Amino acid sequence: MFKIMIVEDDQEIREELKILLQNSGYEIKLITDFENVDKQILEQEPHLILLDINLPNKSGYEICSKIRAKSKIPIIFVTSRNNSMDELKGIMIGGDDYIEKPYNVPILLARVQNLLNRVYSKEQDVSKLEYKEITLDILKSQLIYKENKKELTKTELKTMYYLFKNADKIISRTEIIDYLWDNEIYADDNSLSVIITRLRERLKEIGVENLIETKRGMGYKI
Amino acid sequence: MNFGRYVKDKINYILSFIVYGLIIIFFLYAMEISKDIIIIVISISFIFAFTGFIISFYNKNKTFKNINNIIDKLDEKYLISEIINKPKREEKLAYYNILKKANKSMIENVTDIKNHQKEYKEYIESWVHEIKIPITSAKLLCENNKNDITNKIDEEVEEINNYVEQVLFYARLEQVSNDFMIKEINLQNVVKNVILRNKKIMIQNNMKVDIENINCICYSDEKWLEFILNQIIINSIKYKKLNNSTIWISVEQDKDNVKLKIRDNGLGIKKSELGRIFDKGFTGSNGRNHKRSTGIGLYLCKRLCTELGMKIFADSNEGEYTEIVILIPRVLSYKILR
Repeated sequence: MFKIMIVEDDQEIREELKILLQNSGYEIKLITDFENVDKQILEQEPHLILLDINLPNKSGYEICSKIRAKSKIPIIFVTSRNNSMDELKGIMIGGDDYIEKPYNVPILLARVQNLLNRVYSKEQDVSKLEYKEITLDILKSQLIYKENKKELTKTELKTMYYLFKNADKIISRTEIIDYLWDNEIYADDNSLSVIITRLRERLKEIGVENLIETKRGMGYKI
Repeated sequence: MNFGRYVKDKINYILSFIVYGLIIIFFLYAMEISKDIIIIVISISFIFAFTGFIISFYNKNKTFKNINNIIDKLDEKYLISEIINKPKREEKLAYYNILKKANKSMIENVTDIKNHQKEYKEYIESWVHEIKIPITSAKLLCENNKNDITNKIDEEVEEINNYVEQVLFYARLEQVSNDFMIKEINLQNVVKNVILRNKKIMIQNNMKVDIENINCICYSDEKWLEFILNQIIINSIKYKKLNNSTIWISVEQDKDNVKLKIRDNGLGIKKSELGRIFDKGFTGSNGRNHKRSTGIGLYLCKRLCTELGMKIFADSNEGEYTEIVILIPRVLSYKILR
């Protein structure tokens, strides 16, 4: 599990950010004492730092350059300063990314994930998912059942992936649409129906029937 | 200076000269001096007076032309008294001193106002900075406690956030400073960010976005462009029809420009109002009938575009569609009009 350090002086934001990131599966460390922040950070050895710029005692810029003198831990500046010059300064001083408050949650999570993947070159979490002898090959974008294979489009693959990930659970239509939007597929309710219909056809073609169940008024389930 | 009017101005001198001439003629005549001499005397005085009159007109005309030339070239015309030479003649000196006094007070005033404006802008910047902290908290609280109510609160908070951003960009526009940074940007990222910002409300309203090959590079300020695009998307959401709302985003490129098109199938804009939608404070019939509208969003878009060397146009058919086109220069070497 990745350990993320939050350096943020506003208590409310700090606590809520902690909950948010914990819910996304990260281990969180907080700084509450703003003396010798850089030392505290280096002792904890986090995988990533979310660093505010306006802090008591030393500014985020100073902390960043102190850390950079000793370590290459990825740093994301998180600040309400919305100014190109501030951003430039943050990057020049060794920050890896710069996110503005109020952050959009999907964007924040995506940037954190991207940076972690880039730095720690984590392999694709899984390249194949399996459920009831049906295999979803993500790299090849294929559905496999016994000897039968079927290619999927990007939209179909993403939808199928989300269903596989949440197998045995009922997922609401908005939940799927929400996930698709995060993956740059901006579908509405009708489009989702079309996607599901097509997925059922694909499944039929490889000999699987009734995998995707419709739960009236609730959503879908596999 | 117009000669005719100059003559009119000097009519008193001319009349008194004529009267004076007549008196002289009368005296000379009374003294029984020969006609020839009278004619010579009168002619000489007339020639002298006339040449004097012309020379003085010529000189004055030259002086004014000179000053006019200088003032035309000046950006800040109230600085004129700092630039013209100090005159030597008493009358001109009097005018010069008056002008100098007036200009001095003007310069003081202008500096005062500039300082005030700068302070005000700095206050706005820091205020925006401060208010974003509670906004961030509120949004995180909503995110961590998802339910129908917090979803609605989140929408309202997002609206507050948009108004706060408008204030920030408004303040930045009023102050000539280099708050923007032109660099290479990928339109795809900007569009993606804007859509994610409005994801919730668009999904709730069952809207669709159709994006066509926008993977293209152009030169602009990412934050400013994101703000502009956000205003346009917000409008598309505000003025959508009840069902099947779709936003199409596409790009056309030629050798000079990247043409970013944002089209919706919403309520559209009346032909009679189309020309004014970028005006400050204009809230057409859509704005008045449907939702709260301040008439600032599109005005800011237009101003920001101009500052960045971009162009923005709108096309619409009432009840059918609205299409906003942004022209972004493709090359880095364009002049920013400042």
